[in-house]
Amino acid sequence: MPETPESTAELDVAPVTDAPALPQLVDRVTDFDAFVAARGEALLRMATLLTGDPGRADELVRSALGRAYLRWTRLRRGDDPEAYIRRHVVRQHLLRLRLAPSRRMVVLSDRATTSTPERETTWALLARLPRRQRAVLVLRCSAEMSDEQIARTLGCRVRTVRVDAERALARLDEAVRP
Amino acid sequence: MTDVETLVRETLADREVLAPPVGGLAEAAIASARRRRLRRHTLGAVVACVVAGLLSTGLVAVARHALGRSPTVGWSTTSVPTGWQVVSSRGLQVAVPADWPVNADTGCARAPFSITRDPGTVLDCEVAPRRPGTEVTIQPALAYAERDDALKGRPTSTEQVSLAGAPAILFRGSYPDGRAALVLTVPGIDVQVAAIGPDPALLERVLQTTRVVEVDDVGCSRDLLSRPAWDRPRPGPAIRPGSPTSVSVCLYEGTVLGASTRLTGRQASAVVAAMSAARAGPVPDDPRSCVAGLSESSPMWLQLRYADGSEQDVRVRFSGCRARWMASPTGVSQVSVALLRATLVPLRTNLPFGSDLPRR
Repeated sequence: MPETPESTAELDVAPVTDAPALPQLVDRVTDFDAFVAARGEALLRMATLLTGDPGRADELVRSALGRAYLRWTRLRRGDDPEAYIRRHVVRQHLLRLRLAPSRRMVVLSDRATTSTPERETTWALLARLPRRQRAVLVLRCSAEMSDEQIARTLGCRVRTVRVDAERALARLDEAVRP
Repeated sequence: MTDVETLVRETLADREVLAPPVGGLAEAAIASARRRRLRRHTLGAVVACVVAGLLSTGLVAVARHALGRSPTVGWSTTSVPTGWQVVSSRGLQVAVPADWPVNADTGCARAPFSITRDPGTVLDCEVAPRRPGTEVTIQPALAYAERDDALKGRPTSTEQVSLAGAPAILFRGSYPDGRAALVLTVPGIDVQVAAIGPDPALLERVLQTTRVVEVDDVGCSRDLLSRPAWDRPRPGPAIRPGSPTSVSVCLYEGTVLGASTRLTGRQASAVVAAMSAARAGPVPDDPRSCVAGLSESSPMWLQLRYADGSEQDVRVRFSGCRARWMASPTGVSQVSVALLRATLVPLRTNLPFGSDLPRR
């Protein structure tokens, strides 16, 4: 059965550069590997909290990294390649894009959570929030991003981020309050 | 910070452990990027064909006259000379004289001519000096010849070329012992073919046979196809190979074709015999021999072709301590050492194998 094609949704992608010269290609691969080694875990963590599904998180991050790799030299010249990748992960998730199934063997962690009944309830409630509200909370409470950074990531106004956060917290507060 | 926000922070921190591990992520992302770029190149080639078709209707003469210059010059490729063999790996296909051994370089006892494709274990020899033979290697585009210390300070050149539409980079250099180095790299698929030897004309002739292929001459696709529904463990019936006229062997490294060959005659018969002798169903899992963190290798894909033009696909899973079987649309059999010997030895991958698999 053919693989599901990756979507080519309209995201703010930079044009792909032409084939790089050999030394640049070496540098690109080495640098990209180093970046993934340093920041891949944080991206996977964010995507897992965003989706609640480690497999889906892996697909999102892999796809976003793949896009980034194609324009790595240009991204590196910019300020923050991680912001570009994070933006793709979040927006692809929000757009519910279908991605090619992961070909990477994903071994789910067998580390136990230190959960309490209260956290179990909160986790379940987070899953019921609208995707954007949940994304706002994950980016704010786990990725420790400012409202301005979240707005840039989501492609919306800061005011919208604040409203989403307030609504999400109010909903959770109402649900967990005894 | 509100109480509920604190609770959210604690909950999210608690769930971070669910995140998948980062190992292999960069390779998977690069593979994804390669597929994306290959699709784009394919589309570009289609567009180029359409444009070429339009131009050939008469506009080309007008355009050339107006521009006053010729189209982009590409790397001139030639067809496979008679008596040469074709070797493919990772989406690059190159031809060399038929008597050149494949993956025969052990570092110490080098053949005068050789073609090496990845995967292949090549030991470096610390004692015997390397003989100045001619070697051609298809390898990931990470092992650039220009990074070779022996080429530092030597005259080299790099030029952008077009390999039948695919952008490529041609590197030329020369070693102090007089050998020339020609390396043709295709960044779109991160693969290169490196040719090193005393005769630059021969190297150039070899590199001019290079092709970027999605499906190689023996019928193996560059990218591992998605797992078919029939590739699953079931009790039987056993695979019935019948009497194929040829067997194509496609061995994947990750999701990319590492090595391929087409077997005929006695070699194909050996595969059929091993397949016929295998018991129905998968090999029982053996948790005792499992090594933590060791995943199953990518499957080997066999294509059995028959005289009437029909085909039968067989996927073989043979590594690790579990999930070992060979499956076809009509049956499942145990993978055996005899089958691996019949396929991997002619493939000349230098891959060692040893496990508790049944001998036949």
